[in-house]
Amino acid sequence: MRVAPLAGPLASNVIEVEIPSDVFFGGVVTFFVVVVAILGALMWQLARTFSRRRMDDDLARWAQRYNLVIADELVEPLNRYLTLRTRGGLIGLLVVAGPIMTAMLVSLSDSDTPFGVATSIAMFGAIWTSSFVGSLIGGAFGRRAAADAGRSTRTARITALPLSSLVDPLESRLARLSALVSVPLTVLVFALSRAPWTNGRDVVGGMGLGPLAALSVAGAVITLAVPSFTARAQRARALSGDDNALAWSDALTSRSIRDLLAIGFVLTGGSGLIGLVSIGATFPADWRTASLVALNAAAPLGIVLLVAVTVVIAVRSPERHVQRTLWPQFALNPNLDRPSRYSEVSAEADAAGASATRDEPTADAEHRRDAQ
Amino acid sequence: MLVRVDAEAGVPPYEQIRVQVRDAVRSGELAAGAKLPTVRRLADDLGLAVNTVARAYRELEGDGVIETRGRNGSFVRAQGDATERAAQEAARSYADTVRRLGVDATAARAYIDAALRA
Repeated sequence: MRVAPLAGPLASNVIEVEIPSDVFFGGVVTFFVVVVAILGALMWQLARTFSRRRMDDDLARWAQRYNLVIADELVEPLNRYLTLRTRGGLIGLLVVAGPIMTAMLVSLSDSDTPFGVATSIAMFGAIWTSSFVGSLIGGAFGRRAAADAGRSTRTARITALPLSSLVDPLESRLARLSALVSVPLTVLVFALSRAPWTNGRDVVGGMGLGPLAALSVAGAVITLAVPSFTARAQRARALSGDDNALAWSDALTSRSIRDLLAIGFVLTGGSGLIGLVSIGATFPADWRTASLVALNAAAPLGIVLLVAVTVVIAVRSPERHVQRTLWPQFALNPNLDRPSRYSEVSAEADAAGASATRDEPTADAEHRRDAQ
Repeated sequence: MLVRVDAEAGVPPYEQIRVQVRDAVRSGELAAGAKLPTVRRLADDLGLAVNTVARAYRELEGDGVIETRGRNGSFVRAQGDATERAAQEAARSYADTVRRLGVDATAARAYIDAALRA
């Protein structure tokens, strides 16, 4: 069985190999089983969202992830929000992953389908992005669940929070850095690929470099829109109620903002990775060895970078940023995080508030005195 | 800055809002120029009637604590004499600048301390 040759400018650098038919058939069957298993698992997860007991378990896991206590009256609205958000993410995955994985399966038997490294990265990026988009949409449907049953006290925030209070600054800085690197890289690669010495090689591994640059710009636009989305997201509060409801509202707003940052990061990071892999397309047409070396060096480097960024962010437990920064008093597990400079800032603010109330009579006491 | 309204407190909700905002402005927790949420949004968040919050805002405006700039919304008015008002406006402008630059609060205060010592 001959392997379908790579499409694009690097095709002439690849040596065709003969793979035994039974090995190839085994590979196709394995891939088919994996695709069916993944799609089946996604549909099973979607069916689980209709089970109240399963969603209660998921809510308990959410409380641990965000390290926030859940008051009794918040259980129902949070369950509703979580259910809709989870369903949105899964439906988004199924809508995109299903056709893509099927197309990949079909391409294994169709030598004319240009499936290369670049398109594979783009498709995995599309699958990943679809889950964030679906979660955002599901979360938007789940917002505004009233949560004031049995509580007479309602809390509102007068001034909007800055982005750094809702999202770990490192996460937002990395997203901006990704956009800053990716846009010039992909635009430059596209521009140079159309230079006279490249013989117009502007398609790499089935991926057009022009659309790649456009994707990178789209990701950068989304990343830059996050601060204004932050202000808008806070205007539509997820849960109304007392302090605990506000804490969860802040956590859910933070989650939506992080979803948007993740979409921007996947677009810029993915297109930047493909741009890095496609650097060989900017070399003169007869520099075949150099193009191959660039491809073989850039691909693992790009993947290592992406994995490193993911690990760095994950280690900082970004889901707990809101609890650490704004709501230490609602920690489900107070010993989970060592004091950060953000908790020192909020402790400072608490101390300033405490000294102000110590030095002056409380508002209620003053009003009652005036009334007497 | 948070506002808490207790329906069982025995104090009218509009009065609770008015007193808390007034005290926050006096203590500096709400800086001059800070924008207040719209009446409708605050009413929504606190589960109150729009007219209740509107009354609180009217009384705060009558007390000179806030000012309404038409469709732009309501803002905390600079308090004190002309010198204090100018200093409050400068502080507000500096805070907006450092937020835009992504500088954290501790570093921002350190810069002010250094500038005052110079």
